[in-house]
Amino acid sequence: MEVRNREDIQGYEATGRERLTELAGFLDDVPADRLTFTRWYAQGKGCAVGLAAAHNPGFQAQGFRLEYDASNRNCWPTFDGHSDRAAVAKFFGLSSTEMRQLLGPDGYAGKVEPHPRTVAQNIRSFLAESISV
Amino acid sequence: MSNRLGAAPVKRNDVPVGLFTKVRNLITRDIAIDLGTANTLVYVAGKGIVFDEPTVIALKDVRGRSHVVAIGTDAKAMLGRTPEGIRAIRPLTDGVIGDFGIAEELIRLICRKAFNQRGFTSARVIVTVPSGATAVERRAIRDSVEKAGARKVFLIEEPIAAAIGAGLPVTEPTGSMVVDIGGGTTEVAVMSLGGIVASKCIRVGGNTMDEAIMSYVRRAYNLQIGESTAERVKLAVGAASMPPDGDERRAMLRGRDLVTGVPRELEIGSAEVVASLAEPISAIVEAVRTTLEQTAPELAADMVDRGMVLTGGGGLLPNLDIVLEQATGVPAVVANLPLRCGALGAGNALEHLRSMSKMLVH
Repeated sequence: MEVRNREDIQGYEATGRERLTELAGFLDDVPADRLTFTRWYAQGKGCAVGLAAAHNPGFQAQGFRLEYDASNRNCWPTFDGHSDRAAVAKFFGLSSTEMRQLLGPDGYAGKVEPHPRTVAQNIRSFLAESISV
Repeated sequence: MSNRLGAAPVKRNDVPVGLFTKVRNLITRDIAIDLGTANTLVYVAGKGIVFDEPTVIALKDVRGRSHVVAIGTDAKAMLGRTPEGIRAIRPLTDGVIGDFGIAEELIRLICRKAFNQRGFTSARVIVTVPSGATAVERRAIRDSVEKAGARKVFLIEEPIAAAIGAGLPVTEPTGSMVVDIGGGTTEVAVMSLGGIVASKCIRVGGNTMDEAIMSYVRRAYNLQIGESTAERVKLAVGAASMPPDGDERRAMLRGRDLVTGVPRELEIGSAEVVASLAEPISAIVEAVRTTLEQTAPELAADMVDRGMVLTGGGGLLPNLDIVLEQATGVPAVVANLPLRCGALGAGNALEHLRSMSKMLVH
């Protein structure tokens, strides 16, 4: 069988770098008014990873999903038995500091609603400089 | 004390009544209930507000049957702290009844507490309902109060009750605007000649703000906090916008660390809380804007002169009046006793049932 995509390889697990690259591509198409760092995800708005967990089938297929509480109003990302930031760290292979800089207001001069493309650009710059992920 | 607009503020807890009404009140005990998602207030004709406690009930399940353990303030203290077998719940969601049986029991017990254990059989009751409540939701509230023992039940829309309670001249041929921010809903209404001319009801309120704070703390600090903690933070350092002097206040909060699972304490600043509340605040601003757009030009001109009045617990959020004023260009002022406007207005309608009947929902 000819292998065209890495997903065709049985048991293939994407690396953090590949997932971050995919996240940046996903953010390129997110409308400006949808991104906020004030919550994971709710009513169509959320942070970069919350939006990705809610709307990116690729991430969902890899087990990165949102879990809701009993009220169905509050949710958080889960992956491989981890939840919240631990799930994000595990899925993307990021340290706590890297997460704060890439996926929180700390990396955007305290702005809680930066443009999604700014976040995407920040992720790409990080990938270009970093060899650890 | 007059407000910033110089409008007549609410200044009473009791509504003046005539001799006949006083005699009638000795025989029957008519009451008005402001049944809110967060708090319930009971107004007794001739007495004023006799009950003002959270709309929470704690139940214990014994052999498949639920027994009431506590209601009101006592039950609220149990929220998130109950052992197995006991549930502390809010029977109202977004201003409407979510659980009929429990709501009925709660209403019965609230009235018993308000009347010192005697109940309210044979009373006429006015209950506030959200203006956005559907016919089914209104029927649910009416049925629950009837089953709790009321002889006759009247419904009054929350913005009308709040406007009457805030002392607005709702029966006059002039526009009065009220923004009633409750626990589960925000009601924006423009009234004239005793009726609602334009209105908007959104399912955003104080509870939504608490949830926004909970979500923010969870995401930003990996800390899970409860509703009560979020509400305490909102009351301590919450605001619709930062003060012009940029003076930041800080509050301590405790919760459970989501990584270690152990309790953790941290300090949060008002700037962060303001950021987390941006979403519900903008929804309220949008609702006010939409209502103003629906308002006829003559009445809209009245709004510019008379302004809008904020009622409900959400009206107490610092700087919300300023944010609304800046966003709409219409002056905004917080009513005196904003938490009690709904009950006072419904009570006023109760005392003058005949003349105010056209304002009730039939």
